[in-house]
Amino acid sequence: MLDIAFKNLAEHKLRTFLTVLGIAIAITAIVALGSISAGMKEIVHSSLKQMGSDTIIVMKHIDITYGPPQIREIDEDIANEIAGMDGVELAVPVVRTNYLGIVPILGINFEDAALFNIEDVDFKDGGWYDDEEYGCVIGKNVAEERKLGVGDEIEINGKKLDIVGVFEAGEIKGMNYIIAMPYTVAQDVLDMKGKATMIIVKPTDIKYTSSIKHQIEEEYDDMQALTTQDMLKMASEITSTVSIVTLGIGFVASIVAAIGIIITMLNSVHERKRQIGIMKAIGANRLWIIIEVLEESLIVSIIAGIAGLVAGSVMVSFVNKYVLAGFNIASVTPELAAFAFIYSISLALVFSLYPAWRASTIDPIEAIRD
Amino acid sequence: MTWVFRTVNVWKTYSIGNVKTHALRGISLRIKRGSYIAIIGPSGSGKSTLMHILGCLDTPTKGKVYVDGMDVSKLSDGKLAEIRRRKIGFVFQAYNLINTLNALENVMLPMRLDGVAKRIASKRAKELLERFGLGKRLYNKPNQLSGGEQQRVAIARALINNPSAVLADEPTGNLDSKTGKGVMDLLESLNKEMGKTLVIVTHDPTIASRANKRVYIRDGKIEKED
Repeated sequence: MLDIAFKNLAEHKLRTFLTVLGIAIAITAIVALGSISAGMKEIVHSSLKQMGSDTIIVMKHIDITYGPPQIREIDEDIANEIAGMDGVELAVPVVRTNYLGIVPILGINFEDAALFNIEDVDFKDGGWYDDEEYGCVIGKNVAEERKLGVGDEIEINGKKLDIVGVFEAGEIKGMNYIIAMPYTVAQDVLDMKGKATMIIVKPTDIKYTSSIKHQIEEEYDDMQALTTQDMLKMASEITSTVSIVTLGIGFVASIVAAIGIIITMLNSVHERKRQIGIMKAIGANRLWIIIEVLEESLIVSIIAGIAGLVAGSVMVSFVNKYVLAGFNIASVTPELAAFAFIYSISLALVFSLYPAWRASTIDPIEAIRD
Repeated sequence: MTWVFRTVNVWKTYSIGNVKTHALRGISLRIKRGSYIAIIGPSGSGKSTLMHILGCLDTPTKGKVYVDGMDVSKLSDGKLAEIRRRKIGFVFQAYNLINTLNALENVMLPMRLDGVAKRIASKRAKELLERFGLGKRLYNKPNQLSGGEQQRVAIARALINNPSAVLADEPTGNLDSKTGKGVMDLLESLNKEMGKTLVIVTHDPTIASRANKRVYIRDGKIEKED
């Protein structure tokens, strides 16, 4: 009888609110962290897809323990030196800034775009730049967020560039958040003449990949050469770390919520001892009492689930807007929303079982006499 | 079936540590269908325990209890609940209404516990409350009702599932004598007009004198019947 459950909850509004709050916080954490971590995985995944299976990426050593990633400049002449190594077909210097908070810039000549798997993006308007042009193409999300289109100018570091194309990336979703421009234009905009951030190396044959990697790392102490294998390994390390942190926080929040549920439900059962006793006296059986208590926690958990979803979504859009510079990387997927909602209900029901059982064992004679 | 309640050598013993207290010591009693009986005795005599056992709220330590001919001494919790719901109506001294529910909802409750639709239960509850002069108090919660009104709501609740018997434990104990008389009149009308078996548990000889038969209990035993 849900109406009776509603009445009992309404009778103790503050307690009901606090229980809802406890569960809602856990659900908010799960929704927010879950969607942000899914967004992060998506970024890692996109970056990975930009590499051909045989290409090697050369860049300065990444030390993730030193705060946010910086632009690590390398001398573009190194590209020529690598190009002269055995088994190397091509070594192209590229400028690529890629950190959260600003729009990533990709400086790559159109003739080399295939090396980055981006030559066949779908242009919604305009098209690729000429490599001699002082212009750029932007991903559709940049266009939408900044309300820019072909013919507009975009200002970066005080320099104005013509937008010649707006594209939509297919599989590599991360590309939609990028501003791409010719290599030398990127150097000029970022004030890094003669410097690149990475060198893309293509071997004459895939069997040379490993030997080229070793040659480069021996020659240049401060460089690392990453093959697809290395990148895959890094990606899985990053995503599993993110997942563990997410799960950990979700777990702790769930424990707090579970303790909250047990305490409030036990308290509620204790307070209503007389009411439960009366119900049993006039003919309620134990199952009925158990269901009655579970119905209350069901209502609480549905409200908490909805509240958590809303709060989590608000948090995600906040993170997208202010932390991820307007890129809608983190998103609350229907699967995540469904999971969070079902989780909320299961959490409340499971941890109400004991209080419900306790309620069902109340002795009507004793309860009425008190 | 002539007997609504029949007990055969019923004992109720409470053990606290090694100390055993006998609340009932071999009660054998027969209560005829449609009769009006008062169980009278001083406090601590075991009369409430007897009422709880007759009403299937409690089970005897020893002996047999039959309700409508069915042996209820060893029934499961669920089965006893069903008997309480369908065959017996309780009226308590402290009314024992549910504070969060209004008069109408309180009366409907036993019917809804029995799985009857809310609409049907509500119709029947309204009829009863109107008959008991509470037609204007349907949506008042217990704390908005006087003692006499609360007890009449409790009587309506006891009747909703059309039970064979109504068991009333000191039904006028919390009421002044005028209101108490009104409540007793109402209870007696259930016996006279509706043919319900009425069992009143009381320590008050004046109340007991109104019944057709009196069973005197002392120290857990039947002292006499008249």
